[in-house]
Amino acid sequence: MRRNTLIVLILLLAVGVAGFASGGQEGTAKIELEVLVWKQEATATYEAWAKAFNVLHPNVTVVYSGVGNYDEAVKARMAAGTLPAVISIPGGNYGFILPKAGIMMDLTDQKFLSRVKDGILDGQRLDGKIYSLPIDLAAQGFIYNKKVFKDASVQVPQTWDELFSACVKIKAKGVTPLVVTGHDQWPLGIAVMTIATPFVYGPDPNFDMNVINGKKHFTGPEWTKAMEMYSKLLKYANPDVNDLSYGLGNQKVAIGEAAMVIQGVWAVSSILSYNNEAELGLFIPPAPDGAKKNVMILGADSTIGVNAKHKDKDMGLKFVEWLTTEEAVNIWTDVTHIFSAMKGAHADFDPVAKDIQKYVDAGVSLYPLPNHMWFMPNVWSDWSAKLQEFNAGMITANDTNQTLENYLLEAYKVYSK
Amino acid sequence: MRRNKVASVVLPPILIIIALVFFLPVFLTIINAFKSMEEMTRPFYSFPRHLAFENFTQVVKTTHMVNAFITSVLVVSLSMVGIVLFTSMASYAIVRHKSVFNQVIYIAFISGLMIPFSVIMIPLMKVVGVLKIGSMGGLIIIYIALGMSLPVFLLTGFIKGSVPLELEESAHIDGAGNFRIFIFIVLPLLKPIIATVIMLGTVWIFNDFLLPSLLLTSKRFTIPLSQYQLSGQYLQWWNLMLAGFTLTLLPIIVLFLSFQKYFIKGVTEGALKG
Amino acid sequence: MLISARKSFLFTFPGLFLYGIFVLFPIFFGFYLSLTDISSFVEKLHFVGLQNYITIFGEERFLNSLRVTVIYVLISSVLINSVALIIAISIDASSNRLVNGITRVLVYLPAILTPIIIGFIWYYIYKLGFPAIFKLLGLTSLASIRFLSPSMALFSAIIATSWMNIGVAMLIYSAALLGVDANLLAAASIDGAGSWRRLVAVKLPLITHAFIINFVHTLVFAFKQFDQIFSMTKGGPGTVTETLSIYIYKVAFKNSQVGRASAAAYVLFFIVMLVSLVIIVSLNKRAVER
Repeated sequence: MRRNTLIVLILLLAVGVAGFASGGQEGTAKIELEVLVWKQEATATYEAWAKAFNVLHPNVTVVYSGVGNYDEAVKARMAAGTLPAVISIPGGNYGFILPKAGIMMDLTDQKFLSRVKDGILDGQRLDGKIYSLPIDLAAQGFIYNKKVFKDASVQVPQTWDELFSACVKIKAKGVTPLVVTGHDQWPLGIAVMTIATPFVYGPDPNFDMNVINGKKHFTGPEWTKAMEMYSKLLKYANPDVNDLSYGLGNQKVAIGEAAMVIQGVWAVSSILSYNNEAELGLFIPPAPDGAKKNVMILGADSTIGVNAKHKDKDMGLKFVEWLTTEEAVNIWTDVTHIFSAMKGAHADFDPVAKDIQKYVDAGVSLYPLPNHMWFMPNVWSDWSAKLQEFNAGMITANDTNQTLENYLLEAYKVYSK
Repeated sequence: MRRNKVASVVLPPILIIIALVFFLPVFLTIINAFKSMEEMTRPFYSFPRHLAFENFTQVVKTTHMVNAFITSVLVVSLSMVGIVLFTSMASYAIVRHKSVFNQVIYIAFISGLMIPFSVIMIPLMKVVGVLKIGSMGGLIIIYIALGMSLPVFLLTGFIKGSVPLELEESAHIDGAGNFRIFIFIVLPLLKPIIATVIMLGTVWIFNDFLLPSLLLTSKRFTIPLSQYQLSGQYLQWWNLMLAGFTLTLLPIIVLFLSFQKYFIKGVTEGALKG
Repeated sequence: MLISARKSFLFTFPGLFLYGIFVLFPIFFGFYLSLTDISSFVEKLHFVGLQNYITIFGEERFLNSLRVTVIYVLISSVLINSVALIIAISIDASSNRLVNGITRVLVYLPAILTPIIIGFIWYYIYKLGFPAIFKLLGLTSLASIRFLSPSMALFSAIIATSWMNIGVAMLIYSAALLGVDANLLAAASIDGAGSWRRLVAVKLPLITHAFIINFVHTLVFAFKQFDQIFSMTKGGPGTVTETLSIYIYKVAFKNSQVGRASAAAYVLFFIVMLVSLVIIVSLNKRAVER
């Protein structure tokens, strides 16, 4: 009797496993469209999209994967050959590598691209082609607490001198002028890059390629000046730069213990979550003295594309196209409270939207999100880790710049093989 | 035998203090799980002014915790059935049939304990791709394969030390076949060590994040995957995350408390005699 | 023999089959990959022999990770084993079963928690918890320590991960002590040995097996440790807490240099096997001598 039980158990196990192992592809009519995502904060949005798309296409269930560890998921799926039909691309240079590996479908001639706001697509052209649809927009700058500014009688600074005297005034009020959150490493990269943009990429948007071609260097005057400004700002920052986390830093700005943080607009919802009555604004780092025009970092933070080698690529394309419709865009803005890259999308939810619009209207030149531009993800992450060493005084600014140049050159070599 | 009187009086309070020190981080986490997002700006060790039970209901809803729990239970139980079955069979044969081949197999199983997962992750994924095994089933098969090493180590030690050969030999003389002997005589005796294997394996599989993240989609997330949504790169919901953590702690603690006796017995006779 | 060769094969086959496909084959395949220049996004790969190994041993970052790993492993293992042994001995000497039970559960509890969450929590404990508690106790100089600064971070990581692993070692020592033959202890007692002497001269030598298991286990675990440290410090500040495991992860998944990462991974594997063997052999010798 017991032996029979054992045999039944083994059979059950085999059947159960086999049943699950056959996956979800039953019948040709039903499609399970899988989207590889990275922004796990937007999970509620993906679910809302899935529901809405299912109404239009009842035979399609949209599911998502990749939550939490996009890097590993992408590489592991590539090794297994199981990349899904729709792939969302975070900032971090996958926008170069994935198309180069022949994975992303060429979307350049798709008509729905016309629904994207002007000027955004140019920042992601690879050899003149577009491989993914921008979903959200982000700008980077100094996000500040308006009440703290008012209490210290400080106006939005238009020059670097004004910025430093503002810091002095704020510090006199017992508030940390600038909070720099180095614990998670990536915010350091964002901070330094934002500061560097008016000195480096404003005057020369092709700086990186010039370095690769040997015409310019990161150890040259532009980046040296940028690191100099960063060092000066660090004097007005919190003492625990290297071990303060992104969340804790945002908390300080939210409750008025700190005045400013150099971040992208994605930080706004984080700050508001700690104090939803905080009044926030954004200003861009001042132009170098004597410069006629300033530059603002504005571009798509995440984009989404289609896997050209997947059997469901046609439905994937339909899904991506649907994301440009008003219905999908409204879901995005209403649920995630992040700017959409589509024309006509409203931004009422975001206090700093008006500030950004002001700069756009004033005609500042735009530079795409810098962490998209360096070919391989490790340049950005290794450089951010190196900045921790710089913050602790373990290496000099020149060393940091030189290391960055080495990383970039090596990454370019690997990328262009 | 004289017991040291001084020790009996002095030690218990010291032990309790040590135990509480170990418990402190978990305790702090649980307190903070009851704080709402606004209260998170208050000191870490402070008690919440208002018990935010809504954290718990919210996290269950948002992360579809019930579904995730069912998936986790399915994955864990099916994997453990496979592991217990296959490793007990293999260990029994390794101990009762001494051959060079079995020695080699034994060493092969044991060396799996020393492999960091990163060593085999990419090659494993290539195998998965080639064999085209799907989401949940593939995950279970992989867990069974990966989970062989420690049970083999424990089971072989236990069988060697605590399962008397005489019982089996007399049954053999009475005409019973190997399979019958294994199921009716040996398996019942393996209860303590199997309990240990189940406990260790359950904790490992239940808490595992990486493998499910590579193989599963949102239709069937396990508990750790479902919890990860709460901490994005840009926005974290700490109160929900800690509440979720507290909830997922409960089944494991229940499991541990019920298996505790067996665990100690199993470790004694399995690991130490091996 | 009780089981024939044919029967033995039938018994071992299912487990061996799965293990062979999903563990053994990847191990060998991974070693092959470490001899190539494979990168995640490039289809073709070329055989490069030992080039990857040569490259990493010339790389300061890899050597740093070896350094960090060795320090981490040594200190962790000693710390975990000594604390675990002390607690186990104390439990053994205490006759209060309620206290013993509670202590066992609470000390083992950290071992069953998810490492990633533990990393998050310990960040908050180091950043907010300890300073606040020290301030409350009036120890202001301790309250201003920055536990996650470059000079302290590795030490903090050791404490946090040891917290997780002491429980397992303690349970093994505790179980071993329980298994000491009461007759031997009674005989020693009659010979006039006090409880301390009984401990040192009789009990400890008899639990040598437990030492072997725990040392190998804590060492192997420390070498492989990834989740908790990574979620606590990401290997930072800089590369101060970048162990070999974290180095391998970053090279494989940020640099996409799977070949190089595999080489580093096999160096790790080799070190782990070597260390385990040395410990088992040397401790076994001492056991036999006794």
